[in-house]
Amino acid sequence: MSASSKPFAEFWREYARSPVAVVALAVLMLLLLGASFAPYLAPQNPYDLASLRLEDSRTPPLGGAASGATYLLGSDVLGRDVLSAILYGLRMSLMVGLTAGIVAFAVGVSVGLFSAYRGGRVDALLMRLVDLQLSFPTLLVALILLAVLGKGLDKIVLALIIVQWAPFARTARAAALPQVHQEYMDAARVLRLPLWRQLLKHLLPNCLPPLLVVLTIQVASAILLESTLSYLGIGLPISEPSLGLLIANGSQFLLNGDYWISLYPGLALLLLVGSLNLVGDRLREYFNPRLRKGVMLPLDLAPAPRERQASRGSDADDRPLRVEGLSVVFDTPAGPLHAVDDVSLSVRRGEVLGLVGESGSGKSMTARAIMGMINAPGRVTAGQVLLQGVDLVAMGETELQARRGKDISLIFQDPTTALNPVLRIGSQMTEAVHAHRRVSDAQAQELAARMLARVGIPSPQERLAQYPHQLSGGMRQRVAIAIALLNRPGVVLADEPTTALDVTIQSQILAEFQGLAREEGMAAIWVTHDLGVVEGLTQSVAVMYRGRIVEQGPTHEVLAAPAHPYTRGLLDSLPAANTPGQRLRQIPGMVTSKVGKDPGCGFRDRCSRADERCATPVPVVRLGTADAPRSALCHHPLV
Amino acid sequence: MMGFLFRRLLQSVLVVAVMSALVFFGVFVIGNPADILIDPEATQLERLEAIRTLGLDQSVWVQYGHFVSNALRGEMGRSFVYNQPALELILERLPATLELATTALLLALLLGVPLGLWAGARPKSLPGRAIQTGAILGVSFPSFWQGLMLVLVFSVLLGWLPSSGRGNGPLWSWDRFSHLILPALNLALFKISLVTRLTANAMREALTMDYIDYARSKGVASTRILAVHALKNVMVPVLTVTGMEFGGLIAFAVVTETVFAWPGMGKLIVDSIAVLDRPVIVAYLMVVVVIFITINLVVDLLYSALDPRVRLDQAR
Repeated sequence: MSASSKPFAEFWREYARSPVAVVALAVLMLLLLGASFAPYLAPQNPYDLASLRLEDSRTPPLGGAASGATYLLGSDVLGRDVLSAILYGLRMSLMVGLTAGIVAFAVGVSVGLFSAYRGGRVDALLMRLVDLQLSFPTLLVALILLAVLGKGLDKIVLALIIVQWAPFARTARAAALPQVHQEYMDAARVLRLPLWRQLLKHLLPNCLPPLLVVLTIQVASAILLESTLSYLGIGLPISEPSLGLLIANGSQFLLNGDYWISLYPGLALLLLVGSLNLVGDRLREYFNPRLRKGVMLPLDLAPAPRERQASRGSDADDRPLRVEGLSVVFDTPAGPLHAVDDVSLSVRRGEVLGLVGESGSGKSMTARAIMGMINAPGRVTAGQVLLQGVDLVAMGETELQARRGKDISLIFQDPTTALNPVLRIGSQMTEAVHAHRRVSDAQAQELAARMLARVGIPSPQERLAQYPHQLSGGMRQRVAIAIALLNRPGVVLADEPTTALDVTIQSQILAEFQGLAREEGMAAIWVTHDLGVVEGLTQSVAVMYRGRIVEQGPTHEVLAAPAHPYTRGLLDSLPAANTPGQRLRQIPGMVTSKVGKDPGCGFRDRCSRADERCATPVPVVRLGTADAPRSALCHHPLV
Repeated sequence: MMGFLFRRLLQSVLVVAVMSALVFFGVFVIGNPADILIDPEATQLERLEAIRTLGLDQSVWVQYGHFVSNALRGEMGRSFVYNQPALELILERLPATLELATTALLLALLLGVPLGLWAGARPKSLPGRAIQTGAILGVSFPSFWQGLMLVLVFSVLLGWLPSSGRGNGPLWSWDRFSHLILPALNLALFKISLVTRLTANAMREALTMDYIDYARSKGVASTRILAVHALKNVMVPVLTVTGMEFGGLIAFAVVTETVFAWPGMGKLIVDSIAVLDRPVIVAYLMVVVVIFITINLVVDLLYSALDPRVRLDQAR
């Protein structure tokens, strides 16, 4: 939820994006109104036995009754108007469902919050109890409870509460758990506020959204359960019929074709439960923004189209990857976020380019954009990615598919999440071969094993039969590198692949990668936040800040004499650049995300050289030679 | 593996013991069995005599001891209504219920999984939305009413299928099959919807994972990404939860068997609850507890077979 000034208006705008959910809400409101005003709306009081006309027994809808009266939805065996019975039955069903749901909510939430707050053994014991209860179907438990308790309105409500408290307890506990150790709870503990006040005042508001969803769904299921029990003859007594009992009463006449006595009450019940569930589902979607994003994979069955003839530039062979003015925008509720802003770079064969920046600078996003893998809500808004002279941005997903993994590949940051946990290493490697080459499975296996050996994995044949979780972190990263190199692509992008590894393994992997890149004549981009890695591995470097490349050039030149104050700051904050015993130098402030377009320098808030000119469009300062070009994006360059 | 099975077996015995205590104290102690078991016309002397023979004058713990030792010998008492051993009554009807529940489970998987996969892979498309909305409405149907409507349409109006009973002849005969269709559909609808929703949600979740993007970056065809990378991960929760839901099918068979006069143990339990035939209620509960424990064990084994990360030896 965003901190909008009108949270309800914003909620409604999002909610109303589903027409089905709007209709469901309207139906629910109508049913609630109908039930509330049943005594005024119903043509007759169905429980006033004196007003019933027995001679009108089982009159069809709008059919001629013996007494001359008309019944919109027909009449039942006692001559009772079905519409009136439905309105009163709706009232009863709703009353039972809401009472049971709300009391179960109160009981379950109290237990869940308490459990999360206390933790330890109390928590473990309570949650075992919840698990045990949830493993038995509610209908069965309710059936047995009623067998023991007997019939009656109070008994059925009690039984429903007993079978329904558990999901509330579990949800409340799950939602409260991350909140329990937040600062405000610690503060409340220190202030020794009473337990119940801490729980209610501080925890509940934060846990409310998921609980509201559970409430709508539980009320719906309470209503269904009550009607089912009443139908089975062990729910409500005949004097207080809910919709379930009305259906049961009509069911014996169904075989004669007198359908209306059962049909209409059932439809009313379906509408009530269905609209509750649809509203609940919409709320669930609203409160779980994770479900709103994700990939849309084309369900293509056609073979990939043949390769397009490349309009090769003069230096296409020397520079297999050229990126021109690439921009990526994320549409956020607060406005467009420029994650990658007018990025241009190129890499030579056999060269490793270091793409450097703090977290959130847009360096990983640049790598993904080059691969054509920006997922919603992001999109590429401008620029070209020329791979061997062919623009990838203009390509469709199927064409891209034929390129990815063959001409250009990406090594992910975290192989633990990137490798599929339920597939063997072998099949994750061979599929990359099969995707681009017509080879037998044995040949693909052989290729995979050889590549594993090349990245320094011992007994590769055995590894192929293993699952990712059976390998160490370093091994997994080597596997990911091997997969990226399987088809000998001309361009390899590596997204901080050694960040999670310890230093010795990191340097081994870097050395191996460097060797492979040189032997294969690959062009590589190594994304990192570590200037030490840049110094040891790369020939050229591009420094990113807030989506823009602020400086690029040959690595040794840039590191020796940075032109941009931000690069200077990065170098100065390296521990090695500081005098031992002195306080570490650092760049003041933090990278802030920006919404909307800002033509000025993004670093000016943190820069010691900044003046009013820095808010105006920033010029590109060209330095270096034609052979080894350098550039910086700054009004006041240091060189 | 053997260690796991042994521990699980011990756990199961514990659960059965706890459940037997719950059932005993729930059903036998709350309320007075003497009022139901003994003819109200009996004299005071006959009453006391009967209470003594039934063991109701003993302390609760002695009674529970009797109950347990009888249960261990497979004796759950005699039904008041049928005057037949209660366990025998239940076991006679168990195959009919299992036939119904198994058919419904198969229907739920065969229809629910493909529908859910489609809806999960294409949640914004028209068919995707339709499937998701349909699945929500599917869990909103009052099961008994939906059964009645099936009878109304297919038995009363069209006259295609029988409305009650289990039919005669061998399992594969048309008569038996035609009797099975409507009850199985009735029981399955809720689960089809449930499996569809579960699969769709798991699929949507899976498609946001890193390994999907990683497979894309390798140039793997999207059909393979969906059918192998996503599906293999989706099937883990879907099959385990569906397995657990088999217990729910047996419970809901109570409703279906009542609507279609299907001669299973669900119909028996409803009738027994109505006349408070306690030995039958207790025997039913104990049988159900044993079925549930078996299902849980099977599901755990299935889970470890599907997800290579799960090692049974390290499981609780």
